[in-house]
Amino acid sequence: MSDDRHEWFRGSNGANGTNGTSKLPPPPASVVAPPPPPASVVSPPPVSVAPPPPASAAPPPAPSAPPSPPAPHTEEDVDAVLDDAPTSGGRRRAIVVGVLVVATIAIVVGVKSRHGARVAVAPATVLPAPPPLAPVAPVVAAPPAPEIALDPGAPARTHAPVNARAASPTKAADGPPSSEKPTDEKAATHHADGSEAPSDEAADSGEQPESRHHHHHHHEHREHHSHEHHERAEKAPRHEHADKATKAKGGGDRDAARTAYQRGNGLLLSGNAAGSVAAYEEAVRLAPSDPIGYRGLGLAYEKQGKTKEAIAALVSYLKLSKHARDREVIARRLYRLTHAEDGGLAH
Amino acid sequence: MILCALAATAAGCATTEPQTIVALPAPATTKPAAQSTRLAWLPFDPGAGSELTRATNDRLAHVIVDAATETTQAPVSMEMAQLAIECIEHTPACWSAVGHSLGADLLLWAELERPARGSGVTLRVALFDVGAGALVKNATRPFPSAKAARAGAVGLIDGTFGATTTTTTAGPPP
Repeated sequence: MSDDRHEWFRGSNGANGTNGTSKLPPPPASVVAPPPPPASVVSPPPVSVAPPPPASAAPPPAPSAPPSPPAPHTEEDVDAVLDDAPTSGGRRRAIVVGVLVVATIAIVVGVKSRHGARVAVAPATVLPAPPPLAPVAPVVAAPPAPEIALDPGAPARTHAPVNARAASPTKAADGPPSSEKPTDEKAATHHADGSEAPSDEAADSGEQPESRHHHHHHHEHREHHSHEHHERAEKAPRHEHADKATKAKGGGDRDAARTAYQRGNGLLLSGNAAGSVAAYEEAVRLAPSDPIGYRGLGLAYEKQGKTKEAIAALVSYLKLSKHARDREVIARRLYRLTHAEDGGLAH
Repeated sequence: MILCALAATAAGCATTEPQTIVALPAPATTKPAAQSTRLAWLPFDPGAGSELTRATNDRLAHVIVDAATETTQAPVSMEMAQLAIECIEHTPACWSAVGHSLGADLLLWAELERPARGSGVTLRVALFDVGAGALVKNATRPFPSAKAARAGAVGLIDGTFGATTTTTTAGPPP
C-alpha cells in the first residue's frame, strides 16, 4: 500500500509538473534529482536555443546547473518545456505514435480488406471466364446475326447483338446436328452474363419455350438433359403419339364399342345378321384393340355363310385375346369352319 | 323469408306428388304377359356334320311342349348365343341369360359335346325354363362316333320328350 501511495504521489508529481517539485522537499528531490541529468541529455535544445545570447560566457556550467540564474526568460520557458517535456512530449509522442499506429493499422487493414475484396472479387471475375464456350459463342453466333430477318416482322435491330445468340439456334434449326450447340452457347452465356440474358431472347417468338426453359434451370447439365428430353419428345416417332392417342381414346371408345357390340348382339339374336355385321364392324372401328368386335364379326359372318370372313375375324379375335375364357370354344369353332369350308354348313 | 317460403312450398309440392303417383293402379297390366309362354328352340350347330345337324334340327322343330303357347326357331345355336353374350358356361345362369336375350320363356336345344381326347361324342338335349332358371328336361347319351350319334339322335329326342314329340319330317339316314 505504501508503495502504491508512493507511486501515486510520483504520478501526481509528474502530473503536476513544477509545482510538485516545490512542495515536496527531500524525497522527491532524490527522486526528482534525475531530471537534471536528463536535462543535460535534453540540453541540446537549449544549446541550440542558447546561441542567440552570450553563450560563450557560460558554456561549461550551463549543463551542470540548469536552474542557475543565468537562465533568462527563455530559460524558464525552456525549463517549463523541459519539465513538461517528458510528460507532454511523451503524450504527444504517444498520441502521434498511437495515431501512426492506428493509421498504419487502418492502412494495413484497409489494404488487407482491399486485397481481400480483390481476392474475393477475383474469383467472381475469374469464374465466368473459364467457360471457353462463351467467347466461342459470339464468334459462332456472329454470322447468323444478320439472319435475324428470319422473323422480319420483329423490331429487332436494337436487339441485334442479343438476338445474335437467339438467332443462332433458329438458324441451327436448319441442321439437326447443330441443334445442340445453341443450348451450350446459351448455357455458357447464361453463366457468363448472370441472369439477364433470356429477357430479350424471350421476345423472339421461336425461342420462347427454349429460352424460358433455360431460364428456369440453372445447371448446364440439367439444361442439356432437359433439352435432350425435349428433343427426344419432338423427334419421337408419330406412332407413339398415335398409340397414346388411341390408348387415351380406348377408354372412351371402348365403351362406345361395347355399346355397338351389344347392339350387334341384339341384331344377331333377332335374326338380323347383316345389321349385326354392321354393328360389330362399328365396334371394331371404335376400338380396334378390343377383340369383342372381331368375335361378333366372326359369329355374324358365320351366320351369313361367309366362312372366309368368319375365319379371318375369329383369327383376329384369337390374336387379340390371349387369355379369354372362350378362347378354346372359338378355336374349336374355327377349326370346324376351316375344315367344313367346302361343305358350306351355314344354317 | 322469401327463400323460406319458396322452400316450404317446394317441400309441400314434393310431398304431394308421390301420393298421386302411388295412387295409380298398376297390377292389371301384368296379367296379359303371363298368359303366353314362348318356346324358342335353338338349332343344332352345323359343326357336328350336315346329316346329324339336319336330322337333329328337324326333330327339334317338331317337339311339342304343352306349356308353350308359341314356338319359334332361334336364329343362332346355343353355343353361338352364349359366345355372343359372353357367357359360355353350361349353367342355368348362362341359359337364363340366353333366354332373356332371345326373349323366350322356354329354351329347347341339342348340342354335341366332344371330349378333349378320343373319338366319342355325347349328345345332349335339354328343355330349360328361363323364368324358373331350371332345366325341365335334360337327356345326354354318349356315342362312340359322330355317325353313331347321327343314328341315335332321333331316338334320344323322342325318348326325352315322349308324346310331345311330333313325327319326324326327316328320318335318320340309312
